Amino acid sequence: MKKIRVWDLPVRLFHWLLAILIVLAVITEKIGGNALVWHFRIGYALLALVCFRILWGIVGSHYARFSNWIFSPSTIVKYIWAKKGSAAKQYPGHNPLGSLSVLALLIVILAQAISGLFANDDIASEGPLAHFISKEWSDKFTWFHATIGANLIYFLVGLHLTAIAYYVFWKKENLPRSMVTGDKQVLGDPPTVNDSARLRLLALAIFAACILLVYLLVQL
Amino acid sequence: MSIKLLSCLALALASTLVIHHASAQVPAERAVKYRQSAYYLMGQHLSRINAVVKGDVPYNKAAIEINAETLNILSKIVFEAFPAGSEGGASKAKPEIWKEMEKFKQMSQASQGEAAKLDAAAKSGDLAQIKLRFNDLSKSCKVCHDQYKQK
Repeated sequence: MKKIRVWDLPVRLFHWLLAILIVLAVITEKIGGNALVWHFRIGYALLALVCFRILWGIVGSHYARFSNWIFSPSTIVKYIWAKKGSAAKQYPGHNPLGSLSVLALLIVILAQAISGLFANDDIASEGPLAHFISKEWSDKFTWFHATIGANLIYFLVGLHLTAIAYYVFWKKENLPRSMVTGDKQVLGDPPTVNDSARLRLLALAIFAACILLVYLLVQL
Repeated sequence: MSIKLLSCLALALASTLVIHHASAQVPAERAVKYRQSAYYLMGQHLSRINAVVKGDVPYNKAAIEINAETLNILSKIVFEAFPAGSEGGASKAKPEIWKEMEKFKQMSQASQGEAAKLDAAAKSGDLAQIKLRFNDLSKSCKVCHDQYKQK
């Protein structure tokens, strides 16, 4: 067993910011009233974050890249049927089954943020892009946002936490700690990631560009 | 001869049914249109106040006063537009409203109270109070929507 860097700092920051913002988005929506303005801002931040993660899936470090964790259906099936214990060690990053959950979360959060831009609350607020479409369509986006999207997020977050609990308590593998330190104990000789200052700066520049893009989008 | 008579009778019966059905529909349709119009206006005036609350539009006492006064009046009439038999149709009002009319009335009175407080705050010209009252009013809208409005 040896320790390698699996998650670069941008991936870790992305993960924890995403978690915090999702919780805050739910809280501000439940409070309602004047807190809704914060629900909107949090939604914009989440949109920028997911945009960043998509780009980071192309230019990020080894285990952050889609090429490392988008698997074919046959690989996923093989992973599920493989003998437990051996399979986990072959995938220091997202394993084939877990990658489905990551992909689903990214897609659903993206859909949730975008639908929010077009939604309205039938009281006093509407998303910044709602005025481009009819009320009827805005209501459809609202319906998706409030029922489908929200419940999918609850479900996927629940699944995510359950899977982590399974790893921590049954498999004695502390995944949350890895998401803080970035390191994992591995067998064999899998690649360690480039978590250099230069790459972190690149991530910062990409994230800044995503924020600017979202900022311009909501001003339309 | 008898076939003609029979078809005449059938036609008469059918048209009576159609007319009867239509006349039963009219008041319900009117009630839906009436309350939707009132809600539409409330939405417009709430949005205008919200723009000031959020800081997108500068505070202007006279403009806020008109908005708040309109809301106050509309809140008093809109909840009268849920007469028995006006459920269904092109409406997002859940049928539970008519099953739980007492509870619905209590909630509507809460909203009316909040609208009156916002109106008073607008007249006082205290922006902090306006923000606070706007928050309370929009929350009272949401509580009722969550329970009685289809998504």
